Amino acid sequence: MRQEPLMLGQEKALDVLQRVLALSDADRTEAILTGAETRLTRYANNYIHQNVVERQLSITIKTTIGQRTGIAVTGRTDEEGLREAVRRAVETATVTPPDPDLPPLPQPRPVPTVDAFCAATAGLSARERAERAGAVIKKAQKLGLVASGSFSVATYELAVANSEGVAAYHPQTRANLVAIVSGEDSSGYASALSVRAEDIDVEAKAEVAIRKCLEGRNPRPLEPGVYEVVLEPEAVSDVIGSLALAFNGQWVREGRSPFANKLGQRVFAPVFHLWDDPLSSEGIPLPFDFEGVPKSRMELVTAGVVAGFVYNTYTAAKEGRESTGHALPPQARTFGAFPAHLFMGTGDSGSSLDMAARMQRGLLVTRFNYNRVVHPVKMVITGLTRDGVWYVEDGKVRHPVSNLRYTQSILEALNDIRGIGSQRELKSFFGLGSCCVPALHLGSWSFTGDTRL
Amino acid sequence: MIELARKLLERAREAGATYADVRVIRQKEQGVTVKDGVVASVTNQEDAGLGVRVIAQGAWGFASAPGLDLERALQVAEEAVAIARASAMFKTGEDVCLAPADIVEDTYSTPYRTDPFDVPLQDKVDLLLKADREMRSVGRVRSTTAQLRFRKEEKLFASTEGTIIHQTLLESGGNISATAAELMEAQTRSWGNWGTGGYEIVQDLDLEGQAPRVAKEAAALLDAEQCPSGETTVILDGPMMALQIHESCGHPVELDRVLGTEVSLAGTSFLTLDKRSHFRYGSEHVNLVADATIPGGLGTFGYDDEGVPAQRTELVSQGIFQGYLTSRETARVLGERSNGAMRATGWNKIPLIRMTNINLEPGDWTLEEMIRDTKEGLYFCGVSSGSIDDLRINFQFGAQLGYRIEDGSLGSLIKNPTYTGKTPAFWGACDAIAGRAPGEWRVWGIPNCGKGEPMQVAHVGHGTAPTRIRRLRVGVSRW
Repeated sequence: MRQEPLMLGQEKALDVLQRVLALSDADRTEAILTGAETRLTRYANNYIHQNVVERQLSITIKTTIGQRTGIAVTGRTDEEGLREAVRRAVETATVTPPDPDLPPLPQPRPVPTVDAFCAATAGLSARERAERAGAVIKKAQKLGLVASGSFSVATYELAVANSEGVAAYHPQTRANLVAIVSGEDSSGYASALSVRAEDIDVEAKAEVAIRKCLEGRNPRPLEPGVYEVVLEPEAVSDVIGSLALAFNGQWVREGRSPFANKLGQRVFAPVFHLWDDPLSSEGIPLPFDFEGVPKSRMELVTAGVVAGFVYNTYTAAKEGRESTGHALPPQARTFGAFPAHLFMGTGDSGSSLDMAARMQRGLLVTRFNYNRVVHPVKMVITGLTRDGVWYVEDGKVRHPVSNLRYTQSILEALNDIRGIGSQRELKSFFGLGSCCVPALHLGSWSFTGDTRL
Repeated sequence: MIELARKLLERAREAGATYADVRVIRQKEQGVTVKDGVVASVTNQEDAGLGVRVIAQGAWGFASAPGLDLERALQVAEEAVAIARASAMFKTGEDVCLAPADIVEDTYSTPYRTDPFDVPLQDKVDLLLKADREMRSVGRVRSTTAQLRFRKEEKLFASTEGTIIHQTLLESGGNISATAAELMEAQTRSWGNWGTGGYEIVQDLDLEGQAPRVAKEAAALLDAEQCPSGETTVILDGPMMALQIHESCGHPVELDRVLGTEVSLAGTSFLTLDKRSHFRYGSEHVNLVADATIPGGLGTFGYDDEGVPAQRTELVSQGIFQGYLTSRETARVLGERSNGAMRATGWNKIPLIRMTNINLEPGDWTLEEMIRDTKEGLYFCGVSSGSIDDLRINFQFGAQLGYRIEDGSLGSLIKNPTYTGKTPAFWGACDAIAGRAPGEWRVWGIPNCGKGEPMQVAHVGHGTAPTRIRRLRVGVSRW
């Protein structure tokens, strides 16, 4: 049985927002509708232990009177609910002190067309999700291993309208598989993300997780220290996720980014290329931001040189420039802007195993866990390896090792790039975002602790 | 709301549920944020919806919907049962069974003195602008933030077993933060707290009074020496201990995690079932409890989201690991009743085992005595960063500020303090806990505890006092 999501659709969503605009007598009004329906099947210990449908609908109303602003959020779309929310937003605006730096609302501009919605994925039934989870379970069980993970399909709606005439709507689907297969002393991991559930080859991913689990058996302890590393795409996405924070124009302005005064300067190895492309079908496209500003490809690092920072309307105005289309919801304005559709340039170094074959003495890392920024300006991050790490010597994978903690400056690491993989993989990234990165061979990575009890 | 809940449960039963519960929730939130001298956002949020959890064919199903429409609610009940039937396609062993729980009809409301939603917005804005102005008046401070947040949740829980509970939970809190920056260096200092209660929590924080100290410390850190590297004695302040407890005790005692159902996100726990009642988790000074009954804690409530009353549970007693946080399903594995730790973060979320208030019992020292008793060491204050592995063994935390301790006195300022270790070794090296002086033991709210898929961000509390740890590795990696 297909299960259609409870979406409003373009006509109804924009109608709700137009009703909000009509109800407001503020000087300027902006309304944002976000709808989300997440159907998630979660499995562990070779059975489905959690199976949920989570729904959320919210309308955020920002009213401006002179230079004063108020925000109200409601989950109601009926006339009374909207009227009450508009009243709260206007009332708030009347008691808020004026902000002299408040810029005008964005003007309407053509929004690019993207394809990010798959009706078949949106309608995937609980049974079909269970079958996908079951495929991983069956394969693991057959080998006496334990499967854990989740398979989810999420349907999102984002609509933005303002009193200047902006009216934009975007539907999106995301299918996401996480497969972890565990044995006595090892585990393996694989994941997949796509707009279309049918693009996810569950069996193939299960096999990757199983292979890693089996090849990771009998891990040996390794003395922490500085090693070469080959990071598989999952691990690279963890690193790039932390680095993305530094391109927030507000952080640059406040001196919290390593790139303050570094625009146009070479900070990374010349082979490093990073950009944000919310329109690429290789990622999960999003054509406009939470202010309705159209998105476009933007270079962040070109040939190791810092090429640009991201802004919303407010932080852009402070710099006397235009928004780059990276606004977050109004409640997150104090954070600034964020590039959430990252792509890293590929190289000619082949697969992660090809790169490991060129490594003298180092580690092959599947992914990292619990990564945190220790110092934002020096871009020092810490975290741990997880679900498969191997010691490599003279180009040969010698043996699996127990998980290790690292503490490393990303700036230093990305200045010593020995190889970049030939193919990118798409990884999930901060809410509606995605990150598409290849494997990476780095000359040094500082491991600072082990995990043995 | 009760009628809606009754009809929904009846529909779930008719559809084949052998057990069902529903939470019907109305909630409102207000957030006020000042950044760099201007009001960045004032947000008023109101929301209502319901979530239904069922067992059918021996497996779990959950569905939710916004609004309180009866027709939609009945569809949600049927959908939850259909989902449970799909779950049943892949179950191993026995059906889901719940440990017994008393059938309750009760109400609970968070005690408070002043309803924060009755305080004029102007007063809140004025308070934040004053605190922000104080911070910005300090040289080299490049950015400031001051915020308040309030949340009121009216929640009806009803189950097919006959339990009906109404709760009104109220949370309040605030925070100020100053970042001083110069080329290639930025230092942030903050102050604030969150709890259950009213506007009095904000007033007790004295944000305006604390603002100059916070900003001056951030600025002074720019000139401070880098944290030394090596092993030394460290005294950790209350907020730092709150994070330490959160990551190295609170999460590893969640029984769902121990039993493997959180593998797909943050992992499992080294505190396996075989370690209970004999594993030496820490020194004899270490006593940790989960207590959802203490006044004002951010993890304080009347009943959890399975209708089980708030309780106090021993987790670690004189250093020996004793107990877990449990649900009705997981408690049955131990042959026990749930100790009431199942909570969801909203009507659209399924309950998970969550920390309540995980507290380190106060010791018989004062902070002053501990410093005087330390010949050489460091004193770390305020949380900057934190990371721990998927078994909760290896941690690394960063503090906002440190001082050298030399011959029993606080010495020079230290920047970028970090420390790392392994959970049992850390707690095993604890030789002194403060709390004898008034105000030293305090409950710190953590409003951003992530767990589960889809991710839920829970609000939990930690009662702590400054604590001394011997032989701790500090100053991790190259700087």
